[in-house]
Amino acid sequence: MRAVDRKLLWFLLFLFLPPCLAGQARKPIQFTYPNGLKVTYYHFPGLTLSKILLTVDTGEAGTALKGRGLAEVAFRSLLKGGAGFSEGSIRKTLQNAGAKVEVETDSERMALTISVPADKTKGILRFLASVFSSPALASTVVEKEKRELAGRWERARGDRRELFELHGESLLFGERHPYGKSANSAGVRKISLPQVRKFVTEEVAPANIEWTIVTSLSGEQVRDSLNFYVWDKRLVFKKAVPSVPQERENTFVETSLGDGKALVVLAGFLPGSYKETTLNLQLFLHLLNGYLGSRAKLFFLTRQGVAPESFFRLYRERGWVALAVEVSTDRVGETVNAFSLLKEEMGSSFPTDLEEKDGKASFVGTKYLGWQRLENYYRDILDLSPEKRAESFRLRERVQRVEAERIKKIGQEFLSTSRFIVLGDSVVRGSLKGFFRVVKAESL
Amino acid sequence: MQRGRALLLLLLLPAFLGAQENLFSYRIPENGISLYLLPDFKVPVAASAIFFRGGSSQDPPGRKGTLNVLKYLMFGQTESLASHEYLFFFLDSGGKADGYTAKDYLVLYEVFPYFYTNSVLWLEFERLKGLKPTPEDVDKAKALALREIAAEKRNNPLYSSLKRLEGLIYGESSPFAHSPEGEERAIQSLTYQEVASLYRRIFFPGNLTLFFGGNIDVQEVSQQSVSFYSKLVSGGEPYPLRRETDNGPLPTGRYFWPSEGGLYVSHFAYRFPAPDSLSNYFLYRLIEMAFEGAFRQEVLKDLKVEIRSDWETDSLFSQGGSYIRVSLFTGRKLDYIKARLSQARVASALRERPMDGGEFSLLKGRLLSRLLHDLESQETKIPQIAELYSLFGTVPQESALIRAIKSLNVYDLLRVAKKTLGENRSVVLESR
Repeated sequence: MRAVDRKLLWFLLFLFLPPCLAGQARKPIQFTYPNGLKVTYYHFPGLTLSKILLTVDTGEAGTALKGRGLAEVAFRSLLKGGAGFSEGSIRKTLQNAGAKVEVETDSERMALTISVPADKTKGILRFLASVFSSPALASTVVEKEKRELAGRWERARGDRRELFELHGESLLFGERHPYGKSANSAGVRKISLPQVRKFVTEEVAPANIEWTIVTSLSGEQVRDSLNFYVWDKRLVFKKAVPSVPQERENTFVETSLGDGKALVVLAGFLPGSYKETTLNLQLFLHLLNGYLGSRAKLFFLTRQGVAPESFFRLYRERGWVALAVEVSTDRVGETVNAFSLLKEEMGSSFPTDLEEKDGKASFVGTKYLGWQRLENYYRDILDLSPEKRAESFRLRERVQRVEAERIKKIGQEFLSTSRFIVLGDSVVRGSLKGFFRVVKAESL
Repeated sequence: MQRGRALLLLLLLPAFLGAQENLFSYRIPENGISLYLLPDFKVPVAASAIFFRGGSSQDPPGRKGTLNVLKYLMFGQTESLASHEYLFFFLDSGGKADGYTAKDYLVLYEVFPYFYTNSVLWLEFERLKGLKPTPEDVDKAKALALREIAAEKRNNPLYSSLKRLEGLIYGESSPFAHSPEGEERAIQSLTYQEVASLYRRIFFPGNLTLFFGGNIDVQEVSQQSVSFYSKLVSGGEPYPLRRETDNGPLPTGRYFWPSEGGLYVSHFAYRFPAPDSLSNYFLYRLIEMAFEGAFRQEVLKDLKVEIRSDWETDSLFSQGGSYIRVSLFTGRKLDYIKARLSQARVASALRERPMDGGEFSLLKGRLLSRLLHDLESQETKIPQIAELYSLFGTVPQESALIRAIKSLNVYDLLRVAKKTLGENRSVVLESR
């Protein structure tokens, strides 16, 4: 009898327990509309906060202009007004829905992330579909965005780090490269409304757009909401072809900030790892960051006697990585030498077995902690195939499978393509040995 | 063993049968530990938290900050773990282990990749079996607690005036009057015996509640938890949560605060009892948000500039009394004079008419959105759950929280605002 009771209890327990979902990634449902619009949809019954990630596979590299700014102005203007929606009404609609909105743009991708309470998801989806299918792009909105962007770029001139962040790509790639377009505030002011409209019509086309929707709504409700899309079939996106520029020259950017400091940057290219979501690249950057904070720091302090004002800062953009330190102007020459020696050390011993082991463990943990916010997780798996997305929870195993040789190879790629960029006042010029092309900050 | 398992299933079954959502609770009969499981399978992250009743209000008289020192010791040496081995586990695995002291409770929590759940269950068990701190461990914990105070002083320009404000709000002799991090002089003079004595008073199974959440296997965690934690020896009755203070009549009115280092400050604070329902809890939070919005508008109108970092609003809920405050601080005297007038105007305007129907719906939507965003991440969910648990003695289901916010109406807000923002509840501490 007792045995029967136990069986009954087990039976009842399993009957009423929620299905064991621990450790299993949700499988995506994907569909493509006739106009080419892709939707990846994850269904979570009972989810109280929905996530909408919208990515457009175009950016500054896809514009017809020589300079940067058009894609950013267009994308930000797009979100400020649609047919029947003024700028104020859009802001109010999102605020009333308790939505959190983030916008990011780079050379090849523009992304919008929205977190919204579940009961407002359908309304927001329809609203976004409407804004994207018939954008207003009013001249006042575009002018305002132009002013704001130009103002931001002007302000960057007063800060050496921001100056590098803004112009790093054009200095590295050269203006002829799709990634090397200059960020010039005068150029932004010249952008015309027809140019913005043309860019949106041709580039922000359905076939370039993917929606990732994480919600408690059923697939049918998602489809219904997005059926408001009335765009015709246009598919004209020409993706930029990433490549490493031929010229390998060091650059000195002459500023006139007069604060006695300079920024020394070692920048290298990663042509084999252009996708930001590539695991090998992410792991390399994580290990490099750890290396800069420990061994490289010690190397600078103890073996080279160089004490920078602020220790290494790691910059990363599509296709390139840079390490930067800020030093006083009289230490620039020594810092460049120290960097050259550091390159040698990195080439021979980065990462060590211990750095690889510890780095892999902390990489996994950092990722998981970040994934507490759903948008971080779904952004990370954006470029993975559906099979790999289903395996994404097993990050630890995937990371363990990455061979040290792969990391070393990326490191070699970085070192072999690296060059110096020094940003400082004219007094620095004398201490730079070897050839440095000189660029005046005002001309950027 | 078989019997134990059957008993466990029997005891757990009603919880599962009645569970509408992912929230399961269980009390271990052997020692009175309460266990809450809050599974959530969206992402591969799990979390655990230990909630101890009795917060900084239990610091011995004249020994403000003792519990905060104990907090640091909880990452120390046990029978099987060397000093800080516990912390290193999370550092090595990339997880996070942390804790904080409140006036009513102490929470220690961890967030980690889901596949470490079993290890964490064991680690929690190990430290709950008992700490074996050496006098050096206590010294290290004291140093960390002092560092926390130093950082707070460095980063918060309002630090000393807020201490005075809390003294006025609760009454200087109230155990709730001091901030949880305590006082430097008291911490420096703490002895090993004093720390050990508070440890014995607070750290026993009947006084703690365990939470496991995130990507956990409910069945496995419930079985493992009972198998581990039922072995802990009960130490006594749960610490009673103190209800409304018996501090006697408390001062109201305006008080003077000298301007320190050229910084002018002005705090408007309103006292009220610990909220007795979820609706009231959220109404108080709405009042704080109304303050935030109205003050921003008023100051902007008066000064024609945004003084973003020069003011802040806050609310604090505890069994010893709660308060809402709006604080202003600036180094510019002229701005201060103008903004202080705005502050007074906002306070009196909110008492009469907190907001109209349209503004109310907007704020309600924002409050709901804030709550949902807090509940999304394990790291922000734990403080929210701990606060509600300390106030109501239970963990409300997410749907109950959403319902409570949605059912709020503007008339209730008017009623509560009128009562809460009255002169007889206000304390103003200001520079002149």
